[in-house]
Amino acid sequence: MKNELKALRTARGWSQGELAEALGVSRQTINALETGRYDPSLPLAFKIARLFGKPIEEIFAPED
Amino acid sequence: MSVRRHTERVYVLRMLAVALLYVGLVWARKHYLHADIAPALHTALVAGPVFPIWLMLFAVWRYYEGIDEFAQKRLLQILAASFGLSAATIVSYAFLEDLGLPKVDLLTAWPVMALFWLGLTVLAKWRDRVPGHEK
Repeated sequence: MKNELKALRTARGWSQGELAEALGVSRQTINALETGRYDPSLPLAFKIARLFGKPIEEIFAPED
Repeated sequence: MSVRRHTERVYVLRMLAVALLYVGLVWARKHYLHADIAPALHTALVAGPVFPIWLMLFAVWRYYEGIDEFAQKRLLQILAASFGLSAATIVSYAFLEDLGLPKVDLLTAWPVMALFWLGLTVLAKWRDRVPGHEK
């Protein structure tokens, strides 16, 4: 699955550490999400969507 | 110190303490098993190593409960891979003993598992490291 996490984070001027703290996960998790090595659980995906004020499908999309 | 780092430090300390306790109890069992001691102490000596084995599981479970979902997935992957590799290595060696490889104690299985576990953990840490400019 691909995602817009890095673009959304950098647009807000946040570091990976700041985003990790806001979501209650580690920096390693944010890095793994941004580099596409990990797809989040639904609860975490909803948390991310809520944080950025966007629907999940605008942040995460299948690879095609 | 971040929550994750603290959780990892506590985990490492718990595992080290449990490993030391295990080694100590196995050593005591080996050296005093046939000594002239009270029956209750003999029973405690025989069953002693069981205690740290279950403590180790408890330490892993507490660590699992304290980490986020990505770290949980990694931990389970590492456990599955290291136990699978250990089983394959140990069973292979057992068959190869019949071809002349030196006989080893069954307890050797522990360090083999620990080495695979440690090696895969280091590999995963390296793979999941956060680049310096992203911190």
